[in-house]
Amino acid sequence: MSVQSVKRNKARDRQIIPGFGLSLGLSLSYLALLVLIPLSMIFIYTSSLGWGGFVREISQPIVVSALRLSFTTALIASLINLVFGVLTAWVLVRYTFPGRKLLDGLLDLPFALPTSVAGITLATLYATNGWVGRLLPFKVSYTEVGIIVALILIGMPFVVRIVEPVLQNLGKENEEASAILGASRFQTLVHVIFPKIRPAAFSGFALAFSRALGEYGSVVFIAGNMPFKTEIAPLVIMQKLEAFDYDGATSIALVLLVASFLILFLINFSQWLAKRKFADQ
Amino acid sequence: MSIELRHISKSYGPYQILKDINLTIQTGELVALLGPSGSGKTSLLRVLAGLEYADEGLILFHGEDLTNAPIKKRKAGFVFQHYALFDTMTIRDNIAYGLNVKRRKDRPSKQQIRERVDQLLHLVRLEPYGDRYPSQLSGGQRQRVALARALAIQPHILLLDEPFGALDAKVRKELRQWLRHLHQQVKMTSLLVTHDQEEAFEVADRVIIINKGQIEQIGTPSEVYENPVNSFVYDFIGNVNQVRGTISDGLFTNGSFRVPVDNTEQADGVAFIRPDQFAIRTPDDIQEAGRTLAATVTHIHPSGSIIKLELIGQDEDQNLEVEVTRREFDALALSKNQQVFLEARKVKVFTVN
Repeated sequence: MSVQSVKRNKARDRQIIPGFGLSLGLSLSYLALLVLIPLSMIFIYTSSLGWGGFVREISQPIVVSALRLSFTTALIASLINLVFGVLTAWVLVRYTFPGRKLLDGLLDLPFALPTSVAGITLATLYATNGWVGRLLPFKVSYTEVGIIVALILIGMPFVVRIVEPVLQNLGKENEEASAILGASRFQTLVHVIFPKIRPAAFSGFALAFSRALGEYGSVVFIAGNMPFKTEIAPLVIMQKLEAFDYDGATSIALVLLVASFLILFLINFSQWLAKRKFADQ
Repeated sequence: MSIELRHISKSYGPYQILKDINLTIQTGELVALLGPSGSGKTSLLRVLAGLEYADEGLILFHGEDLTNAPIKKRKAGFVFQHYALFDTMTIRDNIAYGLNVKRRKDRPSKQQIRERVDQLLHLVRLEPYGDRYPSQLSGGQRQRVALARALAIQPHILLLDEPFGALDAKVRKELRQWLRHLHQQVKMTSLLVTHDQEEAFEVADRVIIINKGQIEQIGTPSEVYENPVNSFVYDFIGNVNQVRGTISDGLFTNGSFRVPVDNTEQADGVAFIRPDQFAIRTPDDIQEAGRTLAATVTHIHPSGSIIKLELIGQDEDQNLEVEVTRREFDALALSKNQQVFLEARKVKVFTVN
């Protein structure tokens, strides 16, 4: 008997769910039907346009402006989520106060809420005569600020949920060691705590960014959708589809898809780097 | 730098974990704080370091009152049981940390820091590992890094919280001896917390036995081992046989086993006899019948140079443990189920409340 077959039998013996072949086959076909085939269709369809056609589609002024708006608002919103997400995670992990569990539970609401509900609510609240909009000295609804507010809402849980377990595992010993060695609180924060949560916070940021880039439902209500001003890329895709302009729609979709891929790749790569260096095996 | 604690008390809610602790540690001394888990020994160490504050009492470092001083002013080096190394930094950066965070005017130059780190790496014998990360080192190596890091700021005192507790037996033994040598080199006032009496006895100049937040006994290892002041210390330090009996008219009695005691009041008592303080006799050569217990050998552990015997006394529930050297054992030619007589050379009787 060859060495390889012995190894495989051993691996099989340890599995709890029987039927490695069957379960792998199922997962693969499931993944292919739902993810791989639809996504590759975008590539295939766009490649039929040729490089020139693709560039022509995405360099239309309205498309450029929509893509730029989508990228900048997503970036700003996820940066804000990064800062406040880390802060929220810190408060939830390090302090006990009445209602902490409730707050913790509420944080998942943006995941569960239908995005259109969020959009309508925000649009009403932040309208110039809405409850919140009335109090603000500047316009929120139908501006970039409105888009950013919506994107902050839907991206909020990512950073919190990813940083939270890291903070829980951090323990106090590292901070105590730092304090005994003479470091100030600020130094401890910068040199000891931030480096530990940086990979997690970065993952959360990247996921929030990816999500914000493609967000549609919550944004369209508050954005006002004025061409060249508050029209986001996913909306332009919708409009192109409605006008049967599949070339244009898939070209923009491809840009968003590649951006998401790149971000996911960067997250995994940076985590792999961090793990290789100092993770506890 | 000497340390003096006066009337230190501390409670967590209803639990009083430190009760009126008084003790003095001389400059350059290595003292072990020994006690079972939950005895308050770690809390005492944390109060000294400034990680926690005492409810009452005074802490003097070289006569200076630092009871409520912030952590930084105490200049203590602290070594944690689980190392608490910064795992996002290299070993060099870990050791240099305490120097790098100093205020600009106090901070040594980069060159000086590098030299200091080199010296410390040499001291803990980890020169080749400076550029690695803590996760790439073994437990024993990590704890040596933690020690180097604590020493880098030239602390006035060194506090070690169960520093070898997370290591396996062999590494533990090596590190213990190494720490003893290191202490002889640097002569720093040190307080070591441990629940392992072997460790405390091997490393420390003096041992403090602590139980339920109170100091039971302070002394050199041999003082504590030879003359435990009460039944707790007797029981906690090393193996001991306990024979229950009654005290009356200045005599402790269990059957034919009789030992004179100072106490003249009527009371229940327990006689403590160490396993190596029994001589095994045959009926012919019993010297003091009143100090002799009849017993039956139930088990023989022939491991190493000392043979451990388990025996059962005349009362069925009286288990006894005896240690004899291999030479004695061979001369006696003992076997299982054999009836023997145990003559106690040294007995200490405590009354039971």
